[in-house]
This record gives sequence, C-alpha cells and structure tokens, in this order.
Amino acid sequence: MVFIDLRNITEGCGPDSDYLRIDLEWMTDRLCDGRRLMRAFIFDGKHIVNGVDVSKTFHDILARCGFTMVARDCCTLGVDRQKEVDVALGCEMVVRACRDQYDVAVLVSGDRDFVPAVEHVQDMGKRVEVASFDSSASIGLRRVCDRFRSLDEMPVLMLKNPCLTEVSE
Amino acid sequence: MTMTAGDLTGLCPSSQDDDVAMLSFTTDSHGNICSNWRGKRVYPAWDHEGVISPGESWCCMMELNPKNGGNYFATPIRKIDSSFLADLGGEQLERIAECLLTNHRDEVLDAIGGRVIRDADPVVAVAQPVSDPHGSDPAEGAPAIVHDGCPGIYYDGSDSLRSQLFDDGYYAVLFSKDRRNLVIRPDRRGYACVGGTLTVHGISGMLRWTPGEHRCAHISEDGSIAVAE
Repeated sequence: MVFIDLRNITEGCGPDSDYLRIDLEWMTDRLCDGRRLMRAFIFDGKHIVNGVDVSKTFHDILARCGFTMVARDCCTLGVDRQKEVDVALGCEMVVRACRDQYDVAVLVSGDRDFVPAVEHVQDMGKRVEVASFDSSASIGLRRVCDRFRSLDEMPVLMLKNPCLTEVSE
Repeated sequence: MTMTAGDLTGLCPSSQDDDVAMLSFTTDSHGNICSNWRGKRVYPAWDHEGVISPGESWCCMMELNPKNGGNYFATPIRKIDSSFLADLGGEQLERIAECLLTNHRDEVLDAIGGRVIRDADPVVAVAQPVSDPHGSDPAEGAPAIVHDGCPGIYYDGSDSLRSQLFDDGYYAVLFSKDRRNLVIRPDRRGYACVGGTLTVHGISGMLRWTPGEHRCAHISEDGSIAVAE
C-alpha cells in the first residue's frame, strides 16, 4: 500500500518544477517494484481561493488515475501551509495496518513527523519503506524505516509538454 | 532483434520451421541472460550445451514454456560471429543481403557488429562504420545507431534525440533528479517522434550529455527505453 504526501515531495522536486512534474503513476509503479499494489493514497490540502477549491480539478484527475485522493480542507488563512494532512496520512497508515490490509507500506515523504506512525506500523509486523528526495528526507525517518529509496536516482520527473495544458499548474 | 527461419533457411543447421530465431542476448535486472522474441522474454534452456554471454548473438531453437506459455526457452544452435559469416557460401550471402535490404536491416546490423547501411538505392548498399552517426541526413530516416554493439540514443546538441529504438508516435521523457537516469516511454500525452527523431522542447537544458554523445539504452517489456549514466 502506497501513501503519498504530495506537498512534501512536490517541494522536494527542486527549482526545476517549472519544467518538470512528478509522474505519480510511474513513480508508484516503480516503488511497487513488481509487487501487487493494494491501494495508493495521495494526501494533499485543498487550495481555497475566494472560497473556491482551485485544486479540485487536479485532485479529480488523480482520482481518475486510480489513486485514492484524500484532500483535507483545513488551511491556515493567508498562509500557504496545509493542516491535518500529515496526521490524516499517519492515521490511515496505522489503521490499515491494524486491519491487516497490507504487508508493506510505502511512505512517499521525508517528513520526520511520520516517525511515530512508522514505528507503530512496524510494531504490528509490517514493513515500512520510505521514498523521498534526498533534500527533503529527514535523518530520523531514514533511520527508522526498513528501506529507504532515494527519488533522486529514480526517473520520476516528467518533462512538461508545453503543447498540452497542464492542469496541475 | 530476431530473424525468422524463413529468412535464413539453410543458414542454421536445423532451420526447417518457424521455431528457429537469431537472437541477441543481454541481461535482465536480475542478471539473468535473456532476449526477446515475438513479444515474450527468452531464456536459455537449462540443458543447453555451450555458454551464452551478454551481447552475443545466437541462432537458436525456440520452445514455448510448456507450463504457462509466458516465455520462450532457447536452445542455442550456433553462435553468430565473424567465423559464421566467413563460412557462408555465395547463395547464403545473397540470401542474407536480400534479407538485410528488405525486412531486418537494422536488427541484423546490430548482430554483426555495429555497422550502418546508408543507402538511397536499396540495390547498392554500402556498409560504413558508425563513427559519425550524425553524418547521415535526417531526411533518410533513423539510422541504425549502435555503439560497441548496443543500440542507443544519440544527442546532437539540439532539442532532439535520435534512436533506432524509437517508433513513430508519442513519448514522455522522464529524468531522475540527479539527471543520471533517463527514461523515455510511450505516452500519448508526450512528445512526437517521427522517423526515429524525438523532438523534446527544452531537453537541451536538462540533459547533461555533451553534443554528439551516444549512450547505450535498454528497452524493457513495457516499451520504455532506459538510459543510465
């Protein structure tokens, strides 16, 4: 089961994000590495502008691609900082492990806040793999996980085609 | 990279039916010797005599996996090398030349050691070394770009990549963040490829290749082409 903290890896993408975007489907496929994918969650915050969720179209596209989209609607007003998202991801990872719905959790994030959730999942006999860009991967998370996979070495950044409208923009 | 027995009747000792193929072998991600034939993976038969090394080409007897039909097993008959070509008779050479100019030109050139045929006239073919793959006119179509026996991708410094591995269609281009790994995979939302040339807006600013550089590439079962530094 794959859990993607979208904001974390998008920020870790670096300064080339004007030209590149992360191919989430391809990345998920590579991270599964031939193993059966039970489910892939994407966690993100809603981007509300004048009362309108401008990120809804992008989230809908991800949902149509087969991802289970979890968009939390609580953001601090005037500050581009999402709330609830990390806890939602951590809870989902632990609850699914309690229900024995997966054997291996692939956490796509480098946020140290996930360390307690990872430890609880491991206590239930599950493996936790962490994938993140090196620049956004905390040492604590790398240390506690069963396997760390650097996204820096994985070809997951797709060159944007300017001839096509990028909805994610 | 195959030729059917029909193309090479008489060249291989047992080429009586369609179960004989000429294969170039490489290694998969697990280090196993393998090749591809008719869209399926090929592994050497466990009881074959002789040793197959990566990069070698062999005339093989093919057998579909009787358990699940998911792959083929190849029993090598004869290695395709310079001595094999030297032993061919006149009629056999004619047959090969005919085959080269019709169905399997690029594939056979890979197998016989990395040469490029550039011919405007299909009757008169001139084999030339691949030292200057850029030298051919793009209007002639994609040349068989090979280097040290491996097919690859040629970067001329502009926003285009050329390779015999490209089919006409659309491809997405993916990088690793450290730019060391490149994957080009079929994607209808990607960049257009015509005649073996893939034009990618902005790739010159992304690639860390030097103009005129050629890199070996590996094509996987899903059609994606991977290039690693």
